[in-house]
Amino acid sequence: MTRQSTQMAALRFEGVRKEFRSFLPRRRVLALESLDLELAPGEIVGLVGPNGSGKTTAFRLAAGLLKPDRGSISLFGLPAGSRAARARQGYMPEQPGVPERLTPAELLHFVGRVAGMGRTERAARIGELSELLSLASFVDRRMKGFSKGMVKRTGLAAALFNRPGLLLLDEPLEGVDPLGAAAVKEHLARLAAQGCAILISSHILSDVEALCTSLLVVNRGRLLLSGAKDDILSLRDLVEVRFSAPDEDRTIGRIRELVAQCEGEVVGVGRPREDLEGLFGRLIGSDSGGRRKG
Amino acid sequence: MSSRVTPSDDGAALGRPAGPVGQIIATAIQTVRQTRGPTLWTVVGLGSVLAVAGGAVLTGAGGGGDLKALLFHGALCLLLTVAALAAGARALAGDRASGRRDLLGAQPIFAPAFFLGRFAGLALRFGLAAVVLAALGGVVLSLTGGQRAFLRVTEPSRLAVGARTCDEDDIVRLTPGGPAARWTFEGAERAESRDGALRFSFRLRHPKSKPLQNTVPLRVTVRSNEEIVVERQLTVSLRREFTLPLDPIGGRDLDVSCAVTGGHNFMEIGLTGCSLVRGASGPIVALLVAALSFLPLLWSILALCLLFSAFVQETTAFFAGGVLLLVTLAGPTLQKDLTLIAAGIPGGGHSHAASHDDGGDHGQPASPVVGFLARAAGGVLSLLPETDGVGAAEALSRGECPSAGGLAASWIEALPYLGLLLLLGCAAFSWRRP
Repeated sequence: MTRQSTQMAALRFEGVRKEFRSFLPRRRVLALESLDLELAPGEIVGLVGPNGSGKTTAFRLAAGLLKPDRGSISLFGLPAGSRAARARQGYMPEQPGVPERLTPAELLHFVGRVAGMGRTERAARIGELSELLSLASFVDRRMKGFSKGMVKRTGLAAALFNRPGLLLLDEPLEGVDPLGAAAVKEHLARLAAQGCAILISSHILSDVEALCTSLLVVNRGRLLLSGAKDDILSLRDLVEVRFSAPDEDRTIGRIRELVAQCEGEVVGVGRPREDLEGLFGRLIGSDSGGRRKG
Repeated sequence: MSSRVTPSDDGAALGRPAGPVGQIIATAIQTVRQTRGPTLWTVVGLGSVLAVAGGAVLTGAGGGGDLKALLFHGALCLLLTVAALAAGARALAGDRASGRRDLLGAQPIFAPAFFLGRFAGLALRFGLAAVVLAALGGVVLSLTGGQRAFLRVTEPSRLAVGARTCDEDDIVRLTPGGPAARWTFEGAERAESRDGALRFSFRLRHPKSKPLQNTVPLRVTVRSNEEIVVERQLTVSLRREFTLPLDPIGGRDLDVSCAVTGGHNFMEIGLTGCSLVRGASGPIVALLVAALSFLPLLWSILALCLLFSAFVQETTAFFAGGVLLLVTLAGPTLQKDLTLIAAGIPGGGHSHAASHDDGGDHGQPASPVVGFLARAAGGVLSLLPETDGVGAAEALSRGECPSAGGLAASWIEALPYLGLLLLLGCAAFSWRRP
């Protein structure tokens, strides 16, 4: 990577170390140990790891809510936590503690006001996000008693509100229903295509796999693996072939013979399955459509 | 950075964050909205307490007591402070615990703007509650006839411009049929009292044993140039101060005498002092004084805002919080000083023992600012173990103004000023973003 391209990074961690110390009882917990990462504009990077591996700490450091003990963090070349950097980021915490006595619309108005958006612009943006994240049914209701999914959607709307150049999403899809999650994933992919860098963490690995272009695997504050998703996940010794044929058994036999002739081996034969998310979307979508028609 | 960095799904570019004023207003609005539910309960709860206090005053009219006086004098201020502490803690510690701090802290907001906006919102909320409370309290107390109910609430509006106090050993002892206690107000004090309504407050205290009756008949006579201006026969509650309103009396020297006109022979009354006070004049000063009455409350909120502020580092918060809670307790002293300045009252007359002929040295009163600074300096100096500031502290607690020159404040007085300095330091430190 050239020097110029380095400066263009949407997010850059350089040798970041973070340790938490408690006064009483005297204790030290190493959350991150010399983490390096770089996000280019338009990239979606998945940060995965077990509980306590330092994912949330990394997010809070990137958002400027924590200060690293060592190393540096920059967003678009600006120091993390600076006001200019925060104006370019959208952060959704793992547990977005929304003010319970406000409505989502009021919270979003606050976020927009702080970001310098006018009333008309804010109202229009709330409308857009309501549609995108299905907030319309509760956007003017006080948030007390909201379900986890509703809170997550509201937090996501707040993160997306000022059209950030870098999105930091800590477990964004947890608790969101499959249809909503699909819509969110679709929107995130669209944002990335338009140049928004996205750092996302999730314990739902299928989501990460479906959405991300690159992966970072961390454990105990250390980076175990990083790289492009396809490079990391592809099984280099195996090839998958899908086919449709009237006589399946005969076709499979022929394939086995061909593979054997090439000194290879067929290691497995199976029938592809529709994933549950696809089935759910199809069923619920047709049911809702039918009811609306009725 | 390429043009791809800025997402523009609908053609919009990244906006410039709002300016500090806009952010303060946004945060204040958000805070008021966020706390709109508890406001009602605050008003209802504190209104009920005030009503109870009014009842206590009513019953106290027939017989006072230390406990009732203490409860009445301290309850309102204490409750308001506790309510402010709770609100501040809920508003800010709640943010931290619930993760709201992360959501808000990641926004492009100035840390001081967030801090001030949060403070303004809470202050506005409590200010509104206080106005409603004052109105409620006024109605309740006018119905109950407890005109003394606002003794403490409106304390700053009775600003002492001259004071005659005495030490424990020199309490003027009044006995039925005995000689009257007399005080003279002249010179600068008299000149200062020229405008606005004048009131005298006497504080009665039984020096030795508990009195067997709760009220005492007193004759108060105010003379100017040997001419009687006011002569009143009063029945006052023991262990309570009372106020005698007077019309403006111009720039004349005043002689005040006070004598017991009846009661049991075995009763002895200690008269600890007399203050010539002036009401705050003019609507602006009155408004300012009323606002300052709630300074301890606002101070509490400020302290809690800082204590739990999202932008304060852990150790700083711990340190600042401890100091500011102390400051909160000592807030009324600061309130008094600021009120004196607001009303343009000088540093005050000398505090000295009352006597029948009052031959004390009045000296030259200091300017308000000098008085304030002197009090601050005296307060800090009084931290030294050699300094004895008990007398001055007592005078302050009675609403009197020790002179700048003769000031020797108690250690409590130092806290607001030290706290103020620490507050500024901590605030400056906390404004550093991580």
